[in-house]
Formats: sequence, C-alpha cells, structure tokens
Amino acid sequence: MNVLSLNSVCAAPYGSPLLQDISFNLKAGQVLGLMGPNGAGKSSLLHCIAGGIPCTSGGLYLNGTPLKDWPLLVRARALAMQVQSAALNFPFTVDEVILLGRTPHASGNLCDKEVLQEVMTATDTTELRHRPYTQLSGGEKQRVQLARAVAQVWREEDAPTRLLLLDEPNSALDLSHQRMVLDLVATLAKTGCTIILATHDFNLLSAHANQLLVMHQGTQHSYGTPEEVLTPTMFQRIFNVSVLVQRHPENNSPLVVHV
Amino acid sequence: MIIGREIKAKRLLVILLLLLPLSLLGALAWGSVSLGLEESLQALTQLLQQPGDRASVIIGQIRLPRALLAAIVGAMLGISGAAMQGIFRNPLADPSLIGVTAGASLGASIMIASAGSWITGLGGLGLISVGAFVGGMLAVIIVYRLANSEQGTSVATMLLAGIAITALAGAMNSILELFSSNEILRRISLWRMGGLDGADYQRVTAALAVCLLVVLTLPRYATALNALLLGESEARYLGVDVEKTKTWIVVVVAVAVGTSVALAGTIAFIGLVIPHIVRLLIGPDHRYLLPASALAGAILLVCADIVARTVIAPTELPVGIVTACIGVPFFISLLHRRSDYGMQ
Repeated sequence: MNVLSLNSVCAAPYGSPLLQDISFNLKAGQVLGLMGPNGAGKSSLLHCIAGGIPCTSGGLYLNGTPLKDWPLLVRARALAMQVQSAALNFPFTVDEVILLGRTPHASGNLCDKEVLQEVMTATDTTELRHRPYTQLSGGEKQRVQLARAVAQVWREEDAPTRLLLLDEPNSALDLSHQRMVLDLVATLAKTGCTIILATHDFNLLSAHANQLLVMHQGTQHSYGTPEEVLTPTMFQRIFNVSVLVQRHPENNSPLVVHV
Repeated sequence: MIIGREIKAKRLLVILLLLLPLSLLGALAWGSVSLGLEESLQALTQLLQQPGDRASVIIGQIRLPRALLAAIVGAMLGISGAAMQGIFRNPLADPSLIGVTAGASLGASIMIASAGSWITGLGGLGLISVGAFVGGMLAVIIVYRLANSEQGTSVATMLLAGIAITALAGAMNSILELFSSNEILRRISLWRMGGLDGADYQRVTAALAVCLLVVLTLPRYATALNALLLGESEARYLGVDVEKTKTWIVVVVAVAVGTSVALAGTIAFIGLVIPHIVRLLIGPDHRYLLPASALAGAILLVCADIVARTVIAPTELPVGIVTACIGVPFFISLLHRRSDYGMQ
C-alpha cells in the first residue's frame, strides 16, 4: 500500500503551470529526497502534496484516497509540513509554538506535554523553551519550526499513516544541528513515518534517502535511487557544474565532490 | 522557576473579574455629585425596592445605565481588537486605526440621512447599527485585501489604507452634510455628539445582546487564531478552515464595531491598548487573550468614563478624548519599538 502516490500531477495556481507531470510512489517509512535548482518547483510540489496548492490534473492520493477527499482535520493528523519561511510576529514562547503542532490532535494535555518533551529533546530546543520565538536567531527559529512540524506526526498512534514534508529544514543550521536533522529523519522513518525532504545537501540525501527526485523547471527530470540519480551528467545538465561522484568510505553511498 | 503562562493567565482572568464590579461601583459613586461608595451601595439596594431619593435617581437613571454601556462597549472593542490583530497577524491592527470605525461611522450617517424621520427609538438604533455594520465590514475587507499577503500583513499598507479610508469617509460625510436638510443635519450631529451620555436601559439591553453574541462567538475561534498567527498555509496544514475562520471573525468584529459606533460614537485605541497590555502580561495565546481583553476593555472604558465625567465637572469631556490621551502615546511607543514585534 502506498502512503503517497502521485500520478502525472500538474498544478498552475497563478495561471502559468508550476508543476507538470510529476509521478512517484512512497511507502510507509520511506524517505524521498527532493532536489533541484532554485525556482525548480520543490516548494510548490511540497505545498501541492500538503493540499495548499490544488492540482489541476493528474491524481494525488494519500493512503489510497484522493487528497482533496480528506477532511481538513483528519488530514492534518496524518500530514505535517515545515515551510521555508515562517513569519510569526507574536511573542509566543518556544514551547507554545511547538505545542501548536498538536492543534489537530485531541490527545489531551498530558500526552501533548510528553510529546513536547520528546520533540524538544530530539530537536535540541529544550534550552529555548521559555524564550519568546520573536527573539530567536534564524537557525533557532528553524529548529523550533521543525519541532512543531515533527510534533504533529510524532506518535505512531496519531494517525494510521504519517507523512512529514520538510522544506529545506537545515538551510540555516550549523554542522551539529544538520546532523541532528539527519538523525531525526532516520528515527521517524524507522517508526513508519514517510518523509519528503527538500534540500541542497546532496550527500545528506545520498546517505539517507531511499529515492531521489530531481526537479527542473517544474518538471520531473529524474527519479530513482541515489545511485541512479546522482551522476555527473545530471549535475552538468541541471546545475551546470562539473562534479565527481565518488564512494563514501564508510557506507559506500555516492559522494558528490566539487571539482 | 518560571511560572507557567497558563497559571498567570488564569490568575489575570480572576483579578479582572474582581476588578470589573469594583470599577462599576466606582462609576456609580464618582461624578459631578460625589456620592461615596457607601451611599451608592445603599442607593443601589434601594433601587431594587423603591426609587425615590436623590442618590437613587442619579444612580438609577444616569450613572448605572451609563456605566453598564461603557463596560459593554469597552468589552466589545477590547475583544474585537484582539481578534482583528489575530487575523491580520499584526499587533497594530486596531479598528480605529485601519479605518473600520470611520467606515462604520460613515455607514451610520448614510443610514440616518436616507432613513430620515424613521430614526426613532430602538428601531432607529437598529437601522443605524446596520448602516455602521455594513460600513465597517466594507472597510475591513478593503484593508485586508490591500495589506495581507502570504508573508503576513504589511504595517505600512495597512495604516495607509486606514488613512485613505478615514479620509474618504470624512469627505463623504461632508458631502452628505452639504446636501442634507436642516432636520437631517441636526439628527446626524446629534448622533455624532452622543457618546456614552445618551445611555438608557433600552440601549444597554440592545448592546448587551450584541455583546453576548460577540463574546460567546469569538473565543470559539481561539485555537484557530493561534494557528493562524503562524501563517495562513501553516494554519491550513494544522487542520484549520482558514477561510471560514476569517469570514466569521470579520463579520463578528464588524458587528461589534458597528454596534459600538452606533451606540457610543467613535472611541479609539481601546482595541489597540488593551490586547497589547494583556499580551505583555500573559502572552498571545488567544484562549486567554480574548476573554481577558474583553474584561480589561470593559474596565478601561468604565474608568476612562469616570475621568471624562469628573475632570472638568460639571462639564463632561467626550470619553473618546480620554481614550485618545491614553492611546496615542502608547501607539507612538509601539511604532518606535516595532522591530521588537518583528514588523517590517
């Protein structure tokens, strides 16, 4: 059973087509890496899967049911998204922001507090919990938003299937926190949560994604395992840079090296 | 150990619930004829049995309805300010600053001018309120369309749109006055002058009905408003029906502002000052912010009205002047520190 299934999805929210003919399938616990140059349509695709951008043709199925047939609240229990820029101008404290991720669930105060503790530990935000969100640095804000999205789909009991969409969750993070995102993605995937991760960190995707999807001008350029997708030819065509693809000395996954 | 915000919030609600009856009692005791707390209490109990002596007439006929109307209007302005700032995702969105009050006031004038001699009693008040509601509603929709985007609300656009709408409403008011007959002109200016001093039990009952509707409806959207502060698409992904929430809040706020403009004229800044102070004390969680703003708004307007009645007694100041004296310095300091609130 596919958790998520896209069948020739097209979307054109502002008139001209943003997404054309995107197709892929994801099973429970799989991690899909989304890559492509700026403006290739990665964020649009994520918003489309989350239901924020309507698809004009093609089929978009969450757990076998067309996405638009899911009631809003039930969908929010199964599907969470961390967006790239979150503009929160009100001085919520960090724990209040993270708890907003529990809004769609009726799991009760006690359970939510437990989720909060676990998620804060996993995202290294425990130290920040009483700070106002508006006074945090860019990287801290990014971790808090990550924690909020993760809190929404943290428990296996939350929904029969869980899908987490992360739009460049590590773009403002330091090295140790980038590592933390990796570990978090691996932990969540192990509990059966399906994850789509858009990022420019190819080596991260190579080591942790089951599948990669390369987007180019709103279309699907290539789709497959990291071995199939990460080739010097692809980098030359899509990013217009020459790279070497070596092997990682420890886990033998493809390793992209700039030349 | 940091005291949890929830405990603080509940504590504040209890304090406000105790302060409100105290402020009402103060409003009964102080005025151009000072009665003292004890005499007021006595008169209040006598009022229930048989009215007659001087104190109970002053209190029963003048001060009690006026204090009640001030509390009701203050509550509506406080809670609608808080809700409005929630959907605009901006702590500067006050109904009077972004032109909603001006729109409501224009709507009311147009209604008086066109309905003419029908404007009498409760029915007339209803007509004026409908006019004010429609005017206020149009103003919110225009400002929202102009200033709101996926990134939040632009403060500059929002305030400029408010200036434009206020100017337009002023111009149309002048045109209306130019072409009105003497009789209608008199009615319009009578209505515009009538602040809280026109209070009677008829008005209080009407206001109370609308106030209950507003105070009971808005808190149902508290969690939706919390999610909405993160952004519209984030709120949608958290399972909030964003369009429905926005529509309901805009309608209810327009009803609240329209009614308070129809009943008590333009009273500015309550919707700005009150939610801001409450947010400083207990944070922006709408589950507590909305009821606390209603209570605090009621207390502030009752106290402002006491000042308005006593400061140059026996003459009375319009209460709007007192709230403006409190509100303007506050607004300026907010503008000065706007980067603290992440505003562009």
